[in-house]
Amino acid sequence: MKENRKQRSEVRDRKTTIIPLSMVLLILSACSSAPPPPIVPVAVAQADYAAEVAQKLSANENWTAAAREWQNATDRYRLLNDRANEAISLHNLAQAQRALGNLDRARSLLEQAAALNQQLSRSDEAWRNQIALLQLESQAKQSAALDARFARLITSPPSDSQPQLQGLFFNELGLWQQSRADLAKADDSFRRAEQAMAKAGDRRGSAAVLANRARLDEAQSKLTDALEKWGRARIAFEKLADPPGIAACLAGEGRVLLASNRDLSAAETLLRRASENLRTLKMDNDRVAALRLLVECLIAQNKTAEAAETQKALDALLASGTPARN
Amino acid sequence: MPLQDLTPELRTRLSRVERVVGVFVLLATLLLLTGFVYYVRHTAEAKGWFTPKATYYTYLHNANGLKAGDHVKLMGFDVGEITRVTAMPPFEQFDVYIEFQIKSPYYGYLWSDSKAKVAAADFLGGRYLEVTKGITGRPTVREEKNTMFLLADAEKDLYEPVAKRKHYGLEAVESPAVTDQLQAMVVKVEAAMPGILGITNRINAILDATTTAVTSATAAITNLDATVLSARPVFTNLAAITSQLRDPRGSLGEWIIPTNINRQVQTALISANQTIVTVNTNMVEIAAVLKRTLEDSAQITSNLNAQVQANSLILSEISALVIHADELTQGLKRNWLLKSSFTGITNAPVKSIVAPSIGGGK
Repeated sequence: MKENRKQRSEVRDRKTTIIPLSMVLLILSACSSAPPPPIVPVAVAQADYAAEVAQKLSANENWTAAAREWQNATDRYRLLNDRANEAISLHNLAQAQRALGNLDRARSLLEQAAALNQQLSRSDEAWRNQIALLQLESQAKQSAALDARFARLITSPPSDSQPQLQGLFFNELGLWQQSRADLAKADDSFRRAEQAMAKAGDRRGSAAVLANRARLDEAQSKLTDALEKWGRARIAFEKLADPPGIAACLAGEGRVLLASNRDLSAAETLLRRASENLRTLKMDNDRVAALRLLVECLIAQNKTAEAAETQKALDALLASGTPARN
Repeated sequence: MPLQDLTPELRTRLSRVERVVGVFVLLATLLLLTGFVYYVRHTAEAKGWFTPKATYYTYLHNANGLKAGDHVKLMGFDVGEITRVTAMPPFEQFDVYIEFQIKSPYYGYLWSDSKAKVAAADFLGGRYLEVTKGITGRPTVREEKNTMFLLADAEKDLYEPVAKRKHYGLEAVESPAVTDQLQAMVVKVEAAMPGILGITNRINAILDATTTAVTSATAAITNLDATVLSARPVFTNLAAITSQLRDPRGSLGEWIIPTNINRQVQTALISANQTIVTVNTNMVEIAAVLKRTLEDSAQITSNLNAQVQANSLILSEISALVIHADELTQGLKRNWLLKSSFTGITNAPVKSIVAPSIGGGK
């Protein structure tokens, strides 16, 4: 009984000490405010602002303005001797120049960025530069340079701790192997890319790899698998609201349906929608391919008048010779 | 439970706890009192409760935009506040009585020749009271042995204690509100419009007259041309005469200019003279009209300049308001209680952009 009373008394003691203390702490904390943040030097703020603006312009695909602003950011970071950010700005400037069709300039800028990142031992960034160079050389159809670069990089691909970079690299590797008709190796590379993208949680990357696998299935004449993959990829791109991806999948599905000669009406609808979307996106190379398939599809359905009309549109597009955005 | 029922050990412990609680309560009370004293002191300083003040008054025609509690300015500082705004009886010369207090040491700047200016504060009809620094008069306040004296008679240099003379009157310089000034300006511009239109009509007429003069001058030049053509035989004759002068058989009769040539030359000269006179008269008139136009323009720009001068404080006050509002917001953002309300989405750090390729599009 006594013990019990003693314990209760101790608990009460503790309460009587804790409550005032907590009140004092509460009062004291009421007086506390965080000190003002340190003032960022004007030159740094200007450089960061230029980079932020440039990033927004790149996201909006306003490439001319983006290139100007990335150049501005590069110059400002260079003045501050901030080489890490200078390398990032150079890389993004290269991407803007690539989108504008200045492939040589883009390549030179990417090489500069890669050299800076290697000096700074920033392996992640250096890998990004290398992957961008792979994409650029592939776009410019510089097969010799591409082969040499893959030969150099394939010996030490990105580690498992860099799943996104690994996914990007194996995706490029798969495309390269597919272009060399090494379909089995390409399949393996795409699978590895898909796993890496899933590990990194990169949904856009996963969708892109899935689309590439669908194309590989087409090349291997696995049309049912290809159709299923194109469908899954389209749903993924729709969820991501990615217009170029959606357009590519629509064209892919239409192409597979046409190749398998089943449901030509659905194939026509898909190809028409793909062609319209590609026109809006100014992806003329892909649109030419889609229109060719549409002509084939219309002829297969004996819609000669519509086929002639589409052929006319195709001829006009080829004659215009507008620069392609792809 | 009564205290006597507890064991000595518990009683000792309880008394210790009571002591701790007592100390805490004492500390909390002290903290509270210190805070209260600090608050009172800060408020008193801000409001100027313990600052000596001198009371002044002035008369205005209009109390628009003024109210008790408004700040009174001197050289751009807030030096006091309006304490009373009231209407005068109906048959008084002035319509509104304004009483205001000026804090120490600013009343030292107010001399007998100081003025109470009412200036426009904004475009919404707001006005503020501003007192001007004295230059040649006598100080309105004198302090001796902690007693304040107010000027009673500037001529005799007579001061009376505040207990006897409660306030000092300042002459008012009243400027209407910006909206009223703008309205007056619009009325003036409206009234001036016929004059401006008249000027343009006159300029038009002058330009017409100038065109006529130029036409006359062209005609005169044409006449001169004809005259020169007519005079060509004369030169031929003169050449013949000079050739005959070399000839010992020269005849004086051939020296005479034929009368028709003389008449034509005279007509041409008169016509040219008339033209020049007309042009001269027109030029004088043009110059006079242009001078009047320039004077009108100068008047308009000076009015605009006065307008801008009257509103010079608006921009600085708006700017100060924006700065203070920003400071307040930044402070609130850092407050422990409120900072969570301000955590917005920050921009992602800039990184190298690489998008995965989809094959077949190249």
